[in-house]
Amino acid sequence: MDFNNQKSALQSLKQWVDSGVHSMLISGSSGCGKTYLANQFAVMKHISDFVIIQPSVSDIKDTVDSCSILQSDVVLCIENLDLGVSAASYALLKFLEEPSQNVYIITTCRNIKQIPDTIISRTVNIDIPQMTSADLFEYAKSKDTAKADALKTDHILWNCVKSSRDIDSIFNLDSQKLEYISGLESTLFSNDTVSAILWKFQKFPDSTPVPTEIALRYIMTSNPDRRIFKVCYDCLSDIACGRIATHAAIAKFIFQVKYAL
Amino acid sequence: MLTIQEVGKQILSNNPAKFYVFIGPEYGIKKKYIEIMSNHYGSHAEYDSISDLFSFFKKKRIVPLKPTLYVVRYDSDFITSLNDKSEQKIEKMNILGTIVCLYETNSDSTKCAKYLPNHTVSIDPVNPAYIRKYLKSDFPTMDASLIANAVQMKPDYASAYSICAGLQYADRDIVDEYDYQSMATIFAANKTYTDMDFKMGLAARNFTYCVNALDSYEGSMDSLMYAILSTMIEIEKCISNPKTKSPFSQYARCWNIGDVYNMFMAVYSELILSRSMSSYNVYDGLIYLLSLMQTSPICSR
Repeated sequence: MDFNNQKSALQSLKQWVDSGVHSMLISGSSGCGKTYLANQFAVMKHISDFVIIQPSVSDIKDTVDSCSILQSDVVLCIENLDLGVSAASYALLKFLEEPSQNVYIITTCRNIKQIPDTIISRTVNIDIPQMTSADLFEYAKSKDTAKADALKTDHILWNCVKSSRDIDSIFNLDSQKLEYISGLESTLFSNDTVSAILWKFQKFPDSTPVPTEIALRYIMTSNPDRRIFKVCYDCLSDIACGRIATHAAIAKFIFQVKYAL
Repeated sequence: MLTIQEVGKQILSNNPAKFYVFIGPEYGIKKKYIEIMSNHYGSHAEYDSISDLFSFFKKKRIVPLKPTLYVVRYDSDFITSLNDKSEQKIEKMNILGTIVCLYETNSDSTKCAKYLPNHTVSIDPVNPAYIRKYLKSDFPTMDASLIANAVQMKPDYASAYSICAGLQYADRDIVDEYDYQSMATIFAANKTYTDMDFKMGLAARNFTYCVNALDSYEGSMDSLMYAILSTMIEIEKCISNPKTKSPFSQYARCWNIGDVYNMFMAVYSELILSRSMSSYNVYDGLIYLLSLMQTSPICSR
């Protein structure tokens, strides 16, 4: 599916496909379609080998080295390079300076400011804006029309949806779990300890993981207190930057609500 | 690059070269060679930079200089200035005595090895057999078994030397009563600290213990920041519910909620900083955080 937020990015991609570019950097928020776009690059170039690798030094070095001895073309997608250690970015530099003819590297990132300037200057940059509300509804309807309509009518829950991944998460939740998420706000103000509240924020009663970002956005949207909004926002920013463990960011959020507000 | 054996032979035979660059972490050996050369020349001078020293040599004098050992420590400008002509310049310099430049890190050694290959020696941690040999010459009357124990406890020359220096003044009859384990306990040589040791020290607000644990910790320093965060969460649990069964319960009385909160926030801020700056020194950050717990109330950020 092509969404409105991806239209200009796809146009740019088509222009670069024929130009012989071997390295590209696609930036955008989580769930906006970066990896999908990278896959489209492989499709446009008629390359069937599309490999996703994690932003670790060993994975990057091993994969690039093994691809260079292949005869056929391959597209490597390094997901979220900004979430890896800085050494991973520098491991990539060597390839970007001397690219193999058969290897195309598409790097994605959520925050382009975390990517070294040396990488940005050696790649073609494409930015994908966040999915629009219409895009998200289209995606939701493509998955389940009835659930999409029900989600759209719940204004608080609909405001928690920012990406296709959020829609997938919400559609996987039953009514009990959705009710659990809406009840998390009152847990914050209970006499429970920080560790007990932290556990509740991370696990449903059946021990499956809670979609924490959706839960935080729910609290942010439903609570009128601007101070709660601020601490939720800070927590979500820290989680989005990817450099702090999620449980640490949530623990800080809980500490602030319990003892600083 | 020169080998440590070549340099050792020159220095120990009282025939040192005019210019040396000592690189590496084994400070004890560097200090030993400096002492030998200082005794050989009978005088020793410390300078802040090589450029000052070269200016000093270029000055005209009526009274000639005496051969002296000149020591320059960690002059980073000298490393930056190194180029293809540096070695030639040093060969032409009229050095009376020996100049020794000291550096520690591998990043300095690459440039020195490239531009001053005939003057640079890497002084890395030495094989225990060589340490025992050096210590035997330093302490000729000490029993070989005691020297061997010292090297086993601390396999670097400087630390083993300190142990031998302590043992040489102890009554031999008393020393003989101690087995290896007991001696290792005295010299704090058998303690390796775990995450839990660090957390317990933190819960007890024992700064000295925590710093010792930090210095001996073999895991990742980054993980200690998360260890502090989890300890604060545990202590909050113990304070909020005194009936909690936790290894930290006994230390809940050392904390109050305000200090727990401020410590948590301080650690969190340092963690964010460490992830944002490639030049962030985790060890220094941890020392700063541990120092906070010495006061109550802990100041808020």
